[in-house]
Amino acid sequence: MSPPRIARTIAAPLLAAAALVALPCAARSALGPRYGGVLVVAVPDMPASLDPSIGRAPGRSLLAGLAHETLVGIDAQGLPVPALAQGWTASSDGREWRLALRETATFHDGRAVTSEEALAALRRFLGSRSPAAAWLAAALDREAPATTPDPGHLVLRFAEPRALPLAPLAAPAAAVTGARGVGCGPFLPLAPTPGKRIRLAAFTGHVRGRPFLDAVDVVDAAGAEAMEAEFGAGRLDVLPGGDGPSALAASLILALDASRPPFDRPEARVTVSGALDRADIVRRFLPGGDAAPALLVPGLLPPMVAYAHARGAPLDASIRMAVGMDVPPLVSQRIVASLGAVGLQVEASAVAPADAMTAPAAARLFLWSPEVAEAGLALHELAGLAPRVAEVEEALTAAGRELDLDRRRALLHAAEAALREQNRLIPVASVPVSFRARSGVHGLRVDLSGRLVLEDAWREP
Amino acid sequence: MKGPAPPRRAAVVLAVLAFAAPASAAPALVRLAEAFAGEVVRVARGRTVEVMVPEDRTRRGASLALDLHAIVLDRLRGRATIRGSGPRLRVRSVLSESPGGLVLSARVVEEPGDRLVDLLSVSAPADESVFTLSPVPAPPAAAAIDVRSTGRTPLLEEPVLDLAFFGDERLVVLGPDAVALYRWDEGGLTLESRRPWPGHLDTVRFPGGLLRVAERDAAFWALTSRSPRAVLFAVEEGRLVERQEADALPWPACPAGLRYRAGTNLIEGAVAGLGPGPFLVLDDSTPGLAVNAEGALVDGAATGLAAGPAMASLWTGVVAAASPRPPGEDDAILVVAARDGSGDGPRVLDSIRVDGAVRALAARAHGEGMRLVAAVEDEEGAARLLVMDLARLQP
Repeated sequence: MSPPRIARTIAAPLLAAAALVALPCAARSALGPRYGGVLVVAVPDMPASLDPSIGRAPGRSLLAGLAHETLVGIDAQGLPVPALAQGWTASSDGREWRLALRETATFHDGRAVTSEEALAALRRFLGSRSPAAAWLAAALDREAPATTPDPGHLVLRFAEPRALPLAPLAAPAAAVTGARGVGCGPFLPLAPTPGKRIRLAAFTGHVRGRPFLDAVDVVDAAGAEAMEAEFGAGRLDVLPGGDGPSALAASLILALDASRPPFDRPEARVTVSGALDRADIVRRFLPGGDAAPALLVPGLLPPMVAYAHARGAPLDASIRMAVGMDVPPLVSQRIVASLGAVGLQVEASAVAPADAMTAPAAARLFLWSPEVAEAGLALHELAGLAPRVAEVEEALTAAGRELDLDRRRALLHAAEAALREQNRLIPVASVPVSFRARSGVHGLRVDLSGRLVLEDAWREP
Repeated sequence: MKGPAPPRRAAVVLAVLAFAAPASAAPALVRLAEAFAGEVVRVARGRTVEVMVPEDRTRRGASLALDLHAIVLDRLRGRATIRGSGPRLRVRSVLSESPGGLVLSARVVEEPGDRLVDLLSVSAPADESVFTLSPVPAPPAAAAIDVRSTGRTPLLEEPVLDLAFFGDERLVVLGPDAVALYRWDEGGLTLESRRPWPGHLDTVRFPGGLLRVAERDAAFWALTSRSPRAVLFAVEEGRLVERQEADALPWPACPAGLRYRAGTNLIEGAVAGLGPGPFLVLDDSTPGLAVNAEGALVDGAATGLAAGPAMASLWTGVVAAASPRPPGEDDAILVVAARDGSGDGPRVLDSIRVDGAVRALAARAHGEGMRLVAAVEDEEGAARLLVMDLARLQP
């Protein structure tokens, strides 16, 4: 291993150590963040509970980010950063990771966050349906995966050294909760269940400091027209879609079921992939999108040289395609037309976004954002959407074992290519996830998991 | 503790520069090229290679990819055979940008045949100086104030919460973790002493801080919203020492003193003539003026003027205040005339544009004019001091 490679390999732990004393860095502006005020945010799908471990719909993700906190976070480069854990150290063999909890971390009920709750959260997480949890469960030592030597430390033991082994702990489902599900996020829910509207008040004891807003009201505003009317009447400040805060955070994917004809033939899948005019779709219907045919958005995995798409032989078949309701209708119509041009008669049916990835259909068109904004975990999650393929598994395993971050990125490119070349998951475009915000609202952010982040939001006086 | 360690002292001998030197465009790109050339040599294993110009996805301009290509070819000289025809490895790459720096990813294929041999990816940490020039902006045409000279320090080690002159020769800089005392030298500012804040510090997302100098006592009070206690610092033999602590910051016309609202940058305390608060800005050099929590300049009544989070007195009846411009715009220092005897409300006399966000201000008579120091933050939250010598054009 060359010296520069060694330097890059050890950079992540050192960064984590440095972050032991780091303070939160709020968004800067001339006027400056202002404390005070209430923000009213609309979600199209208010969840029935605040449990962070169930589901990933936008409303649930928003509430989980407001009410809950995880042991680690993920920064814009996909590297773990301190959250409830103020830092960590690794043993010399790279198998044992010791997380130090912040002494100041407290739940909304005022009780200290201890390693006992962290361990309970880890066990609950490992038993959940989270793809990141599945990765972590497979990586941890089976005999003694985790221990709590004292109230301030949680120790994880891995079967072998892994790249970025703590990244799964940034999954919302890994949030640490206390008695009766109480959280320790930046905002404190003022009701036990969301209902049609829930207020969350600023939590002064949050590990990154009290948020700027006094409170956030999350309201169930199903229907674009209803939301628009509320926004126009001044009763909403933030709603999904629009020209406000945005991030290229979703992949538009066409999944083909290789167990059903005609897609049981690889050449049929090649035909479908070659039939899509990605540049045209983005130019006409997805402003701000990226037509590069990659399964991960550029912020997760930097672009690689574009592959040429082979044009396969025409098909003659009828299929059913499930389309997520969050896919713009003009986009799905265009794709249906493109498939028709190569001989596929498509019967499209709209399904809920949460069901679009698993709906029983020969083809599925959906918008996908990763559970954790880290390229390795994101590819694992994607690979789980299609039947396991040996080449993909081998490439992902090799990337997971590579500790040099640059070399690992190259291996992740290889894994992404292996996954894509199966043509079971066909990338159409990278798509921006955007929101509309009232003038004078600042500090809103969309992360690479497509989640709206409100903890640094503030309002002009 | 016997004063600052030599490296820190050396680091804070801050040259006040009229203009920053143009940045070198080399380091990040060179590091990237050298790493990439090393990978190409590793993969080539003696075979002939063809290295294409990278596809540029950084949107920084086509010359970046061309420069990178030229440097890569230079670094391959003597280490690999470069040829564009015949049996060879063809290296096609994409140059992109991540939050941490530049990334170059490539496919290596065997020609003829286009068989994939390997995938490469190298990165180089961002080096902002590669792309950013940082001259001090020329002040706009003056209306009431002549900005005679402007200089700025290099980046400081931490954010600035408040500034105060401490006599003619010293400047106090209050940060979230520590208090620092600088001495004016011919070329700039030299750190004399730095004192970490005593006791436990709360985590505050955007902390506030307040200084009140008692020159006659060679001391000053300091309070930040990270600590529940105000501290009186004195200077003894050139070193800052803690002399006293109090539950609240003693303040004129405020018998109970000032405190910060927990977890915020809002100052609480009833100040005679200004009302009960809370306040965003109070400055003992501008008695009778404050910025309230809504960002309005108040002098006992609403003035109709908005201001940002800093204020300092210039001349009698004239104050400097940070502007209330929203994010995305350059900030400015407003020169404001206070309410006069005729009862007319405060009015803006002039404004001085600054590149960044004004976080703290301090001013003191200097020669025939006025020296104004502003702590200015860039978009990344890094602070530097802007030092301006001002003269008044109108009485």
